[in-house]
Amino acid sequence: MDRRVAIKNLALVLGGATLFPKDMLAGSSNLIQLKNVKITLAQEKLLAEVAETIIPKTTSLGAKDMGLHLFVLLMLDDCYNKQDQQQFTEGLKQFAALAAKTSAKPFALWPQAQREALLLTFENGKAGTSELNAFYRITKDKTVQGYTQSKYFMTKKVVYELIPSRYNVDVPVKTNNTAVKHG
Amino acid sequence: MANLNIDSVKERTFDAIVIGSGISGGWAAKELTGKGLKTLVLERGRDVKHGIDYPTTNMYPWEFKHRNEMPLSVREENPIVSRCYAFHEDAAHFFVKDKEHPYIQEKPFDWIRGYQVGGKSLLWARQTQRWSDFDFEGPARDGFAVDWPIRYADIAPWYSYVEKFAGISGNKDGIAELPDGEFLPGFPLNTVEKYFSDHVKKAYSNRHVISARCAHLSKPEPIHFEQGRVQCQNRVLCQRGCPFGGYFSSNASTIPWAMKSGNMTLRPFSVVQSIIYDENKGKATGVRVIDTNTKEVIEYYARIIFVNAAALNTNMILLNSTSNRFPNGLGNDSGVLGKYVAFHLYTATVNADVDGYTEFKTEGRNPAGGGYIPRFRNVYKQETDFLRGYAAGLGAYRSTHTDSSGVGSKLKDSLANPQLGGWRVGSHMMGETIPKESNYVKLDKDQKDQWGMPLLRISVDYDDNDRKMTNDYLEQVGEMFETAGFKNIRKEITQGKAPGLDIHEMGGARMGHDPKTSILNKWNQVHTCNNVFVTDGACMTSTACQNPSLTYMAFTARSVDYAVSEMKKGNL
Ligand SMILES: Cc1cc2nc3c(=O)[nH]c(=O)nc-3n(C[C@H](O)[C@H](O)[C@H](O)COP(=O)(O)OP(=O)(O)OC[C@H]3O[C@@H](n4cnc5c(N)ncnc54)[C@H](O)[C@@H]3O)c2cc1C
Ligand code: SF4
Repeated sequence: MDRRVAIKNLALVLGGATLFPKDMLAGSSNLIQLKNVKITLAQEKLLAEVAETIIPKTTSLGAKDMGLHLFVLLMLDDCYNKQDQQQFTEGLKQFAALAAKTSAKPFALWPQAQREALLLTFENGKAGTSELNAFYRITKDKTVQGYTQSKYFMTKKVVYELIPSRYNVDVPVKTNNTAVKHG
Repeated sequence: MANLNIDSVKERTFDAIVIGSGISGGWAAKELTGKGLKTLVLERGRDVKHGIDYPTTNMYPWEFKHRNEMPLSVREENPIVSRCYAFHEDAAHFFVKDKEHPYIQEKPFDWIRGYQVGGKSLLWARQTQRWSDFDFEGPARDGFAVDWPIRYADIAPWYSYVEKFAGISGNKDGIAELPDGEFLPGFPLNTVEKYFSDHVKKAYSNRHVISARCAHLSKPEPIHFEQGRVQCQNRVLCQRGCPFGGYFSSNASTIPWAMKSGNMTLRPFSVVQSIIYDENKGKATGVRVIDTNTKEVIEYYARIIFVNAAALNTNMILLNSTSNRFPNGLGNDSGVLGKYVAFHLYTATVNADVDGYTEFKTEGRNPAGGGYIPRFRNVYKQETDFLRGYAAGLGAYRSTHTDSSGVGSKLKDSLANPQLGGWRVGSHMMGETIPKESNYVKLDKDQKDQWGMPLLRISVDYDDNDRKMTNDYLEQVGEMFETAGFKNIRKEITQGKAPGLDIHEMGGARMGHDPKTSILNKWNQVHTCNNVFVTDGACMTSTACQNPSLTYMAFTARSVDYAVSEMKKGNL
């Protein structure tokens, strides 16, 4: 795909893509133009790896397949305040430094288990600096949102009904799992 | 006049003019054109055609750029409208943005508006209840405002008339305080709502929990198919505009109906600046309009004029319609125009958790939103230290829980497997407020908007009665929840909520018997300028606690019927 065309279509891609073209991630310039937040190409790529660690490709699609890190950046740029944005970018810097200190290998090449272990240290919001925690919290929240509110997830995993055409009450519960259909 | 060359006076002359095309204006248009009057409908906003101009209506959640969240820059630029619960990416285009239409808040007032063909009828929550004589007799019994010049019997047939056409779903509940209407089947209460309804019936002699009555086609009749509307499909995405016409909006119902008659001329982009009063004739002869695109001033003429610009805009137009005869605004000999503005108290909520009933859940979505608790306070007699009372919304739902802890394939698994949680129940307050002279709107003397209209100054505030009523709601509904066995009851006064956010602003040109203390008579006719009628919220003498729009519809149909019969008799 022509990279420029691809970038132009990014808004559309973010809206509904089920499959984000992998070769775009390998490019040599940022994939998303932000208005408020400044992110280097290396940082954008690292964020893609962090998102992939949160939602890895398994038998089903992962964060890279869906371009979820771009959704994180879009939301960060448009919906968060200055302070959150600063904490995020500072946290991202600290995260890169921490990863480099932990291993000589680039984060992207760590085994999934090792990457998960590093992220999980920030899960309860107590271990890291406030910037690291903010970076992790925002990245995780928005990666999860981007995933669960993607076309893929809402048509294949927990199905969203645009037109339910019914409201039934007193429906007997057969299983507590609601994945089949939204109420 | 600026526009002599544009078209002749004759081409600008109609039998009737309607100002505004929202819920009440749409009804005026339908009724007037249905009676054969050539009618000009003037609308300040753009046209919104049913089914065509609903850009988001079929969008899936993932198709919204920010997944329906409003970007921070928009929220910061528009703090007022951002406080409205329905202001999101899917419906933002139907809301007025703060900056585009400024006004002056002498006291905090969140004025929520929809300027387009259809007005706020596209956005409303569609809750519709009739008033009763307990409401119309309120001011006389409790000694506030002025006596309503009508009683329930005057308007009951008109409620029936508009309900049949609009399509209102509900049950015949047989409650004197909340008269039954012409209903399509009601949406059911769910397991927990039903339990609560039964509990309340047993525990209290005069309290009820009923299915909320709402303007949805649960089971359409031929009259609705004739409008091109079909059964509501339970999408509950109504604020986007509904391709099925499942709920009542001017766009889906009254406006196309009026258009079909061949008697309506609809002119969007036309801000009515004032009503023209002719001293010699002792009547209004037409209106002065500013074309929002060209900024040109154009006059239109008609024998009768219906003012339906929504309560506060109607006040603005009347106040701005000055002449030698009416230096303080049309029909305003009394000086009450713009005063006695009132609203509804949406100031508190009670929420709780429910034990049990986990063998049941619901499926699909409920357009009615759940149940409704009609007013039970001070109905038959004064029994508290505040006047009047409140109704409450009531809804129960089965929560779902998704474990979003951790990362990796474990997280992916749990996200794909949300689990049913316990039932939750919630209620919100809808209280009556007392119209007072000190709650007013007026025109600013100097500042004007880009169309040359003076800016509106709004000075409306809560009072002690409101605070006492809010506390009583928390106490009483809290107690009802407690005796029902609900757990973890959370009573909350909604912090920082200004009047206006209820979006039920009313009054300013109230009805009454006496021209010395009111603007309109019992036919919604300006006492001292009898070919001008006001049938939107501006006419309201008191507010009751019911959602108001159904009453505006009934007033409008009734008033048009009167006006046209008076025209035919040669009285207008
Ligand atoms: C989110 C929301 C939820 C609501 N829920 C409910 C509910 O559940 N039940 C209920 O009863 N009510 C509800 N309402 C209120 C309801 O929408 C209004 O009461 C109703 O729309 C009022 O009808 P109207 O004709 O007076 O005004 P509108 O519907 O607002 O129409 C007025 C029209 O006049 C036009 N206009 C204004 N000034 C001028 C001018 N100078 N010249 C020309 N045109 C002008 C406007 O552009 C607008 O189109 C809700 C409102 C909102 C926004
Ligand atoms: S709930 Fe009914 S009226 Fe509302 S959008 Fe849906 S189908 Fe239309």
